[in-house]
Amino acid sequence: MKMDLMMFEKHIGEFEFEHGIETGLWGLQSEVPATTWPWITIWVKASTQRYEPGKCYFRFTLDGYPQAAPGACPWDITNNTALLPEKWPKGSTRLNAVFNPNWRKDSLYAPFDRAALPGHDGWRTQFPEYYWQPSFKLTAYLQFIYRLLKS
Amino acid sequence: MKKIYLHGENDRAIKPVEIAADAAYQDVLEIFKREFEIADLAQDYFLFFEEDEILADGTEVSIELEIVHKGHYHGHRCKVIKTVVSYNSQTKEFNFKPSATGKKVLEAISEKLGISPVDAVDLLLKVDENTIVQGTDHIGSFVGHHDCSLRLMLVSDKVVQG
Repeated sequence: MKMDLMMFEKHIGEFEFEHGIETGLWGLQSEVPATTWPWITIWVKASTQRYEPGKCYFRFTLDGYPQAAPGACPWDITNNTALLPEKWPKGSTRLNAVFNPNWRKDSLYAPFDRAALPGHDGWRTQFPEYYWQPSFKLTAYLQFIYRLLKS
Repeated sequence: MKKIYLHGENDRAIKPVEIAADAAYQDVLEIFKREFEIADLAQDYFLFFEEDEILADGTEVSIELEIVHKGHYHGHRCKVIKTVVSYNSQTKEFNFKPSATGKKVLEAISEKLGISPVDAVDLLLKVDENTIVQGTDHIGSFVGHHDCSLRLMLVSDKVVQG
């Protein structure tokens, strides 16, 4: 088994990830990550004020995990495509800064995200708690997204 | 068999273990010492259940019923964590059991500071700039037994920009 998939499966077997599932904060769309690797679709609970369906799906790109940062794209599971920009969650200043399709329509503008890291070396000191490091687990990114979607 | 989760002193790891259905607190304490590789078994550790708490009037509530399946237990040498929280250039002191969760601590602090649940959504508890206290963390996991105290910052979550 690939090391990145092995590490992902290890992390989703740990308490922090399982606790999120048991308390309805997030969930895996597929129970067998190996079948879609390195793309994994995970939903995160949202305030219905921010996102009417109450949960938002993301397709995570996870090759090289956790040495490489994850990439998260808001996802339309019905059409299996990136979520249309007009359907992205909207709300607080913090939420709109991260969910910003004017920046990119396939990624979140976040220090956790592989797409946003290039050119943002300053984030390393500005957001040390969020700037992706190989010691991080995907759960930290999910908690960050969950806090935004309930804010 | 029961599955339980063990939390320890000055260590954020959460260790799942399986125990006998009729295991007692003393059995769990022994397993805790093994899991957290505590060399000196004579050290005086206490075991706390996640639901143990200290009420606003200082009353300590300890639930020592049978070990609960999927329960969270914390081994620590401090009985109480004296917690000083800074928020908006003011500081407040609280006492928590080592097994108090980040979620419970944030709720208690917000209530005492008069912060509404709506406003509290945007607040984070931090030990330092790099370390967010997550809702599932036990507060004793950030504290050694030397002084049984902890300083926390209650801050607004940052807006990503730049």
